[in-house]
Amino acid sequence: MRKHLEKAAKLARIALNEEEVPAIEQAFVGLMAHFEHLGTIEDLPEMKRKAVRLRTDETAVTDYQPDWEERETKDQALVIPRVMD
Amino acid sequence: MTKKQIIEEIQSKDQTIGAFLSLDQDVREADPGQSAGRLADLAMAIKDNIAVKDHPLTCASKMLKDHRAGYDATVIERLRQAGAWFVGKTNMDEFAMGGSTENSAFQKTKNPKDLSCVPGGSSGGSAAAVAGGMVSASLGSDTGGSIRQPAAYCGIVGLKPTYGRVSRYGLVAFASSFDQIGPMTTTLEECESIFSVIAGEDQRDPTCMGKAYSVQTPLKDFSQLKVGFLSDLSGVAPDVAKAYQAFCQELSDAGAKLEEIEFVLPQEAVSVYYVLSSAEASSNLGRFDGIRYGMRGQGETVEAVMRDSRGRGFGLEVKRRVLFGTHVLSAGYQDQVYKKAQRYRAMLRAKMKDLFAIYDLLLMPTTPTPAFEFGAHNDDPMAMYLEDAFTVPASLTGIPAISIPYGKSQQGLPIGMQVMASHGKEETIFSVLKGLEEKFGVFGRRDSDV
Repeated sequence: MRKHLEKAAKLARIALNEEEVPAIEQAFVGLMAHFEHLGTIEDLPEMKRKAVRLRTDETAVTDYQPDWEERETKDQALVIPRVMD
Repeated sequence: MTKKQIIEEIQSKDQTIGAFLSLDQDVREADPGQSAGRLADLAMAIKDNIAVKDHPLTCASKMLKDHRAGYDATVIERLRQAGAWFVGKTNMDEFAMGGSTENSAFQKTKNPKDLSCVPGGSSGGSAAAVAGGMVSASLGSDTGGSIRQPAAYCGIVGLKPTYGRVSRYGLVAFASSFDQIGPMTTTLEECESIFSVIAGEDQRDPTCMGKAYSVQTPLKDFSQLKVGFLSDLSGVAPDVAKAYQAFCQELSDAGAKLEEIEFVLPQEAVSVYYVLSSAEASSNLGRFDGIRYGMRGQGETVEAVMRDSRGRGFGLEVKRRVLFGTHVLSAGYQDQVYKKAQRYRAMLRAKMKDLFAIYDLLLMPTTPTPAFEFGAHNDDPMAMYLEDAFTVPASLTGIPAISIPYGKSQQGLPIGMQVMASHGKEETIFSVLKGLEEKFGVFGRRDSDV
């Protein structure tokens, strides 16, 4: 995680104070672990678009296929949810 | 009382609370009794990330310590036209990042209901100014719960409007697809009155939906009202769960039909919110580099000046989020993390849409616990982030949500209840809550609240 943090600091142009690093690392680790537990994005044969496979509990999963818009730009792929109806 | 006397009184009261970062010592407007309009002579406090011409605009950050706004935000223009005046700018978590106002670079704000506790955040100063009796209304901004959570902790009313219903022109951006300005007040009536002034179209904010608001009549007949409530209250403090059940019972007694809902992602939404809001923050705060905007650091090269400016100008929580946001947008992680989070947001919106096809309102506690003591989460940022579990679903989906004071904990701390409606349906929220006030008494002023 330290490596990721240093790379992010370089990209974000922030001089890191060594004393702050453990507290920043702690948040990185906590958020990533929480996020990874959520579930996965799957290509399911019966669905046209990629589906969210949500881990609803330890044994069960639920698949959702929301109405999202995908668009490719020159150098990055973005998924734009429509915030408003 | 003249406006100068009002300011002096606030200054004296604020010595204990620390709600204000600056007070308008040079009041030039007419004294009370001389202005007209819907909000004539209403003294308001404004969060220090909203532009009020010639007033400081620091976002509680060293980065903008000496900055003054050169123009009025749209909401300020509208409030001025309605007769309100502005006593000063309130403390907040730096750049609105935090849930306790402990991340302000300048001072600590205490919760007027218990001085050993935080007022919540990020609009903690705005909430404390109202709860401490210094003003009866303030403006806050809500990105992941920053109006509703401090309103709940301080025992006042706080509304996060539908995304796009209130102009963001003049609000310093944190996460542009989430940020909304909203009122924080002692009563529901004042909250609605201020909302009716600030809502509506603004050509200067392209995301503004252009839907004005008219004050509603209280709902009389609750029999057609369908309300969804959470059955699973795991992780919620017993006092909060008890208040929640009492609130549900009150709606049922009024005649509404209540049904249990299974709501995916109350806690899981937290990390989705932090991925997306941090990504947007890393982009929005890129302009504060000491060259274009903000405190100028030192260095031999432009790159070194920027690194020093941002390294010293930003506090710990801002660095955490900017770095996390940069990480999730970096090559190799954009698909794995950022895009996945966007898909979860889309899924949550779809789920919410399904729920509002059945229900008029959804109820949740505003926070899992009442206000906590200073320093309680200093060593555990995740514990602080998880305090947002019930507020981030409305933020991710853009729906309106209000926090109203409802009862107290055994320690005497206020508890907040959150009422959510579908996009653009603030009318339903106010009509129903005003109907409940007619039947059972004004929120925040009942025997159980004082």
